[in-house]
Amino acid sequence: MKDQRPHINENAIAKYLSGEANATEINELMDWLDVSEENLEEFLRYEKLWSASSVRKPFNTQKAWKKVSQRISKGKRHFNPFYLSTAAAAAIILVVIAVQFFNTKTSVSSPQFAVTSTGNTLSTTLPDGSLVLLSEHSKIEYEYKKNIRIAQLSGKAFFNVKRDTKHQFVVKVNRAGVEVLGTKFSVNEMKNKDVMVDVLSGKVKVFLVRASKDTLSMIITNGETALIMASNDTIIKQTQEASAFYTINKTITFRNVELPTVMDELAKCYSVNIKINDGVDRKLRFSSSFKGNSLNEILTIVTQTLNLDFVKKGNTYYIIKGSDEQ
Amino acid sequence: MIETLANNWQTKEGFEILFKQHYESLCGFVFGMVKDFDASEEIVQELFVRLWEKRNDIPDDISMKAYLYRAARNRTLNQIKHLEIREDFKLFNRNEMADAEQNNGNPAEMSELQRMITQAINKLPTERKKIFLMSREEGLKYKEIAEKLDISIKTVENQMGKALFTLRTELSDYLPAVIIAICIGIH
Repeated sequence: MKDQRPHINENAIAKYLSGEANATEINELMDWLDVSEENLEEFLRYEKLWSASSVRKPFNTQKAWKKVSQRISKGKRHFNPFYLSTAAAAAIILVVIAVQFFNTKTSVSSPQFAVTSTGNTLSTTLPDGSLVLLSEHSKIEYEYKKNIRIAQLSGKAFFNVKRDTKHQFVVKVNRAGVEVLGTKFSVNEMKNKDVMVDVLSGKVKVFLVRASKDTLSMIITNGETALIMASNDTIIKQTQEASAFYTINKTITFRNVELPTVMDELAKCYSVNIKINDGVDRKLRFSSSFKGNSLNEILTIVTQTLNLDFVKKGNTYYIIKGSDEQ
Repeated sequence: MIETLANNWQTKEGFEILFKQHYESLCGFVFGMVKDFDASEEIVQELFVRLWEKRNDIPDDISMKAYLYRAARNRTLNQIKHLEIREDFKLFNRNEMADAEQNNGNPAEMSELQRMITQAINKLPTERKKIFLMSREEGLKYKEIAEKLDISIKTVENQMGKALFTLRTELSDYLPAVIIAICIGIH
């Protein structure tokens, strides 16, 4: 029974299972799987051994089932990510001021397209073909009005906007706005109502309709971050290389910063010692912005986000591994 | 009993069994293509949600196992492009991925197979055992292993393949029985 079928090289299977196979090798394995259902069975035997041969369990069936059963019992789909048609027109997007739009009263008409995420990140395609990755507990509404594509966001999202010169793309978050001149960026509405915009590629124009009804705007290009501060009506620009940003009015911003840097900055700002205990993963990264928070509050947020914990002894804070999952 | 329910996967109970039987393996299968744990899980979950939605359109007499793997493969290939975009997204979300590897499997059900595997691994030649554990326990990439041990990537590939082959032959009689035990365990 053993050698009647073409022999698959176990190097190839090991490579595939460990995520090391290149496109050709993946295709070869797929072709082999196509030969017979027995080949699939054989592959599954290898896979079973593979996953049992490590204590690392990257996939959690129970957790996944909880999510899936919730989704299917709702009976309707949250989103329809990959099948909407895209009408692309590659060209440079013109800079068009969208102030006018922001000064008009909020429309009461219902949006053409709305997606709300719950516990998961959702990937969705807007009717214009732009891709949006919506973080947990966020909401996006899209409508097309007067030649403008308008996305109303609450929460956090990453955008990859379909270029279309004739139809400007604008993201609105409260009084802040992001007008898209290029392609990829993320928008994050913070708890304190500030809005952080990270630009990965291309150009965006951020703006803020101020309390005095005039509009502040700034162009942000790739590698830069804008912090639109609702509370003091201003916009701050920073480069992403800057590990952390600390202003005299006690706003501290971390953008994708490794844990040791976060702690160094905090130690400097608050004149304390912070030590990271052994066993804590120093590669963990953190992004957020704080304004006027106490060190305790900030440490609580940072450690909870990263599943860590902290203790204070004297003037020194120790970052320790978190207690077990809840 | 299991068979009957799994065959009747269009019911809620049967669907749960089908899901639990295949979820991890499907994720492992998709991982080979996308090389990203979170993305693998999302693809497989989406696959099951879709499957449930169109459960009445799928003929009763097909092999669901073969169907699932084919569907997983097609979905994955369709989504590779979106996954590239995800990579960008990840830059903004590193901190949200922190708990990705802290899940518990089914320790009770797996322990017997794991015990057998541990025995088999311990019998491997020293170098091969070292390489295998660096990959499986420490999660190192082939390239990283090669650099650490100052050997070629090709050698790592060969040693990994041989180690896996040894497990396969050592446990060949044992494996089918174990699979059945696991299925019952899940139930």
